Amino acid sequence: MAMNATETNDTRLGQYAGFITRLIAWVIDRGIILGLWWLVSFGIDFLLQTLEISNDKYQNWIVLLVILINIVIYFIYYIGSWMVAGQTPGKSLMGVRIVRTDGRRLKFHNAVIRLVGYWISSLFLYMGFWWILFDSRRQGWHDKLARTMVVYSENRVERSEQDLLLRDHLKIQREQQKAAKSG
Amino acid sequence: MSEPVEKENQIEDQERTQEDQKEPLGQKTDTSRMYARLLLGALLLSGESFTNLLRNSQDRVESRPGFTSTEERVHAETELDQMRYLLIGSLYQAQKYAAKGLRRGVQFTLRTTGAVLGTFYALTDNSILRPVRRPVDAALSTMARDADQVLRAGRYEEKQSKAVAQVTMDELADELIDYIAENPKVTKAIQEIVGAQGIGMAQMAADDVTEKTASGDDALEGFIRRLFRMTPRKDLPGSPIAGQHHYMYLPDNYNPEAGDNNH
Repeated sequence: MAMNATETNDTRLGQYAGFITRLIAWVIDRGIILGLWWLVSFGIDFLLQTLEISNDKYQNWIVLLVILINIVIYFIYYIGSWMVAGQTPGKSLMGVRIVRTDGRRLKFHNAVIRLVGYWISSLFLYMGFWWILFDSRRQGWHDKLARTMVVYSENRVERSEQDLLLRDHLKIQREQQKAAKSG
Repeated sequence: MSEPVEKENQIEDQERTQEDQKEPLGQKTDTSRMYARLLLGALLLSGESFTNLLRNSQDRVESRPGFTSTEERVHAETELDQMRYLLIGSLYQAQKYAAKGLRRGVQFTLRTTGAVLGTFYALTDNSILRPVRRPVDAALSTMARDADQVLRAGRYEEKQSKAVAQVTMDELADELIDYIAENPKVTKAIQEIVGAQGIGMAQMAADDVTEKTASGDDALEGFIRRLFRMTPRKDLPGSPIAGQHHYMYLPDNYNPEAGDNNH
């Protein structure tokens, strides 16, 4: 389905998201990740001082621990967000979401490949990210590798209404299941 | 200095201070002073309100039946708990020490100054050294007069600032209410905003930003294509899920068009 580039956001729903939106979302996510890393480092330092554990004695282990925890946070933040909500907080703020090329929710392997793809895209002066500008489906290298695409989500006002409808639907479905079990 | 002269000086000072504080007749207070008063007044008023609020909260907490005393241990304490308590306790102790130190410092300074001046007066209380006392007396008297004037100005300004801030805030509130009441469009907009459940201002603002960045996406792409002498793209590439709401989150059997038939 093709559409005119000047149409409003309503008609953008489900269309491939462009470079600026994704860049801002990426910067927001990086900011959140950096904040989390700082919190972890600060927390560990505070704990060590409270327990009077010498920094010098275990310095290498402490550095390793901080790095490990930060890597875990990085993975959980991205993979968890992509799999659970289809979007990170940054992408949610910018109104875009990530789906598989068939439009379905990401599976674990898609998410892992996409995250590894981030590092590959960062090589050669972030060439993999710049690729979004030239690609016909606005995919970066990481998207190509993980077979994913980033699309515009419905606007928030509309989504609130959709959420209410969906909530009602799920509630009725649960009640029906309960009734079927008890009956 | 003889007593009648001193009294005369005092009366003169008082009059001068009052004159300083009064706005000259027919001349309005200058704008910077008004803003300073408004700012100071707002700060003082909000500080007072917040202190009252804190005091009320503290009273409420203390009047609760289960309010724990300082000696009571709520649960088995770990070393970490004790460290935390030590840290919090030290903060309060430090505050106490600082206040005590400050009080002692002021008292010590006053005592030392009194002692030095007393000695000085005792030593110069004779006909030969009396002339030495005069410049010191004059300097001290000027200092005392200046300090007193500043003190009085502060007292006056605080009162004025509070009054100005209070009146301005009341006036502003009245103006705003009148404006809303007189403009049905504004009233309607507010009713819509307040009435709309689950739709906040932030949501709408965020949607607006999203829309603008989405337009920016197209513009940037167009610019880059022109820069690299590529054929301009008139249409966005098609997506297999274009126009589909919440596609990935919906259960397989859910169809928003079907309405009640979904269940």
